[in-house]
Amino acid sequence: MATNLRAMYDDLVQQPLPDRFVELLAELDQKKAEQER
Amino acid sequence: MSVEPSLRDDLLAALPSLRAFAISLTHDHHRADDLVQDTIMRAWRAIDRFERGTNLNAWLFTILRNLFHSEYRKKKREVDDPEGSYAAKLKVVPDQQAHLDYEDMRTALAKVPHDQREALILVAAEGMSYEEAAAITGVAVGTVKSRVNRARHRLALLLHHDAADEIGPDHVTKAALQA
Repeated sequence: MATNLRAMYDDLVQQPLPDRFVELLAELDQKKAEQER
Repeated sequence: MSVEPSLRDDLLAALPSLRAFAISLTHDHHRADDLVQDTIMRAWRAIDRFERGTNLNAWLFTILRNLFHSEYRKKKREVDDPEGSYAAKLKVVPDQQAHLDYEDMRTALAKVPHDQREALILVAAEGMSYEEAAAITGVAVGTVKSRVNRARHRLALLLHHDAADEIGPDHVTKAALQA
């Protein structure tokens, strides 16, 4: 049961990360850099 | 203080786990992704308060969980009725990316009380220590242990029960043959 639970969860972790998160981080990073300029 | 590239990379690296946790909590990819997005925004704003060198994952999980709970407090009925509306919603809106293999597990997990399910996911699925899970959920370590144990027990019963249902007709057949 524990193995099955972990396998199910690992399956979720392995799913490709939506691009929106990578884009969001890049956007936040840029904003922060502009603020500090 | 700026966000050093290494920290940004760590944040990015933490996202798959964070997202898996969000999906486990919400059972809804869209809501999970919104929750992850809100978590990133909040974490970013509070990044100066993150103590460098401590557990980033635990910090992010805490933020996500708090966001989830503040959102859920507004829809409390849903939480108080895990076997009713919550389970029904799961059936009506099946996860498109769900593997059929995990259907029994998912259904059983949905019937485990929320606080127990959360503890079980953190410890048994995410692999956190009882101490980390306690810090994230804001309860004592003993409480986490007891929740995980109860969740395991309940899950085992539910899965066993389902299995018993499946072999049910065989018992009937056997009884009929023996009669």
